[in-house]
Amino acid sequence: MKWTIDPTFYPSARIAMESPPEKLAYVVALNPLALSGQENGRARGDVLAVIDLDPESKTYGQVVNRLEMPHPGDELHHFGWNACSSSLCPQSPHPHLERRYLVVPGLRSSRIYIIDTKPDPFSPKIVKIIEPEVLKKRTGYSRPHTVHCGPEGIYVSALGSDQGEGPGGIFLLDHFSFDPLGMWEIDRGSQYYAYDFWWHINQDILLSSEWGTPPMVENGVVGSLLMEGKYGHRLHLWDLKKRRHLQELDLGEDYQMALEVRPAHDPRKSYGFLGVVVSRKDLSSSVWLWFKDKQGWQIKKVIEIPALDASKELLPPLLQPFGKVPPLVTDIDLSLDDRYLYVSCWGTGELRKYLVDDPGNPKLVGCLKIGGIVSGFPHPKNPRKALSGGPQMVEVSRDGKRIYLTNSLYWAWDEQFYPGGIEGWMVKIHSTPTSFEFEKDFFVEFPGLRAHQVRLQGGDSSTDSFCFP
Amino acid sequence: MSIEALSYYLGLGFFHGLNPAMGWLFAVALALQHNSLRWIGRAVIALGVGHFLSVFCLCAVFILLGRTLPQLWVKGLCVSALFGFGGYWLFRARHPRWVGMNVGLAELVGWSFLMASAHGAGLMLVAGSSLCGKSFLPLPVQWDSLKLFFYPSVIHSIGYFFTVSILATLVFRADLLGLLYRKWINFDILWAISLFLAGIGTILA
Repeated sequence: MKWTIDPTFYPSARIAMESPPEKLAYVVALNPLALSGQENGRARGDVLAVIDLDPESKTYGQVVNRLEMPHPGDELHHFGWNACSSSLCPQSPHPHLERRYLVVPGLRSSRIYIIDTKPDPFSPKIVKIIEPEVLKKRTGYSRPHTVHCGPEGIYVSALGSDQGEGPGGIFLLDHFSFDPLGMWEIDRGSQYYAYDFWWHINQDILLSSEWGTPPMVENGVVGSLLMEGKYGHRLHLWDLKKRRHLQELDLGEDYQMALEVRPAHDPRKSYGFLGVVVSRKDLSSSVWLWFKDKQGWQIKKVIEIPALDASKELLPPLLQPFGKVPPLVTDIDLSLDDRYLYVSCWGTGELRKYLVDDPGNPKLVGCLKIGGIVSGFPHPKNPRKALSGGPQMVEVSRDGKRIYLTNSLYWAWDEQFYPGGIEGWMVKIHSTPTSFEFEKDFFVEFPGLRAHQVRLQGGDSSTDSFCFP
Repeated sequence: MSIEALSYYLGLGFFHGLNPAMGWLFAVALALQHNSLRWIGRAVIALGVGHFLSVFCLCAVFILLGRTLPQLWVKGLCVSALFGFGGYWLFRARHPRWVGMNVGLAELVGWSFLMASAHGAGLMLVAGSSLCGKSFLPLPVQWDSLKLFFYPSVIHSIGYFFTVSILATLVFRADLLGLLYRKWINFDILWAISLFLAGIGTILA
């Protein structure tokens, strides 16, 4: 029981932007050996790494702690906070919860770790484990993916059913006990594939995107399914309160894998961005804008990034027939002021910065290069070393001035697109209206591990929901 | 009605209005969402109606109970309910999940009714009537005593309405949310303490 409100709950994105800079990051890192079966001796679990982000500190830019999971092969992927600014939402205010626990799902194992970041934020501890059998039994789902803290509890999407096929969907965890409460949907309508989700919280609209069922993704991308247009290409709209499917917005079969959902942070706005990994026509990637006008909800393509020609011997076997390297937009992130959209091109090794003041007409205002399938662009800290992996999960600080980037996507897909293996790294970028550049000395390495998602202490641009504009 | 009773019900109304979980925050959010001060007016009327209905119904229940049960039982029931709600808000503070943010006025009335009921707002009024010596607990109740539970509910709701209106308008117009969230105290604890105090008061009365 606390007397005061958690200082990391912000009534509005505006106020969150004025909060002090982050001092710590939590990053999940995958142990690839546990999955490829090449581990000698005892198999090791994946890791939650703690990174010091305080420039005043002696250990700035270093991994200051690693929490290893007790089970190998979980494939830690996305994760989130138990509570966030949505606790201030007036219809169900819980201002005295704490942003304290990380809810960390294992995408492959279906195990969920609840990790306490207090009393010592440098030394997080596992306080509860939801075992796969419990999750499957209570919710009917497996392969937990995206975690969002909502006014009613913790929402988690899942790629597959308890049987390991479709449909995927969303389930709820209790705010206080972290017990799985059950399947969220009452009427799922035409929805079958699942991946990411988020909401227009003040409009009671939830949006969910599509990847594929576990058999379609767990052993890598299946080329034939991709060419047949079988991967997810729809955005689903739901009534957040009634838990009913309202509408689907179809991008068309050419657009494969509609992944990250980034609605505007201002709760008065009714639009957002959806990243699409690849077009089966020309291997381009795209970003789409959904919006509401007098005719209702619509979606249109606002960014297209073409594939680049490349000589066959430089390409992995999967891409050789095409002679092209696809941009593979695997993550996008919108700053809290809804002004800048950052787009990760995991294939071509670019992080693009778009000005989206006018969301229907994004303007490319910056582009940084690092890694990439054929390019292997280096980081300024060591300009001679080619890097593996590419810009993948991108996290924007609350004030929008710093960007953190990691390079691993998903084990089986890493192996296909980067057959030489991926060495995990994390970099920091400074972004202002006039500049966009790497911090030269900030290059965090994860020897033997692959870094995936970054969460910033006190919240970031892809975790918080605000009920006040 | 005595001046003590009047100020008790009115004061309790002010207190209830202060609790962000009782609605002023919702009114602010709706006005911001629609970018219009008129929404404060609409919302506080709906909230006031809901709050009034909740406390009025609870008082009515106790009056009706009083017609069938011995006085000691009614008093015991009231005290245990007060302690029960107090304990709940101290140890397991969970708000009812009913509406989202996209609400009409009828839903807002329902929300306010539900919130006031779940917080045991009316119980404090029932306790008050025994505290103030103008009890409607001493029974049997005459039909005449309708006003005994009607008046407290009305006076209380006026106090509530007044506070919610002022607070919501002020926070909306002066953009005070940023300031408020830093100064926000845990109203659930204050609320639980008041329920306990009302319970103790009822025992002593």
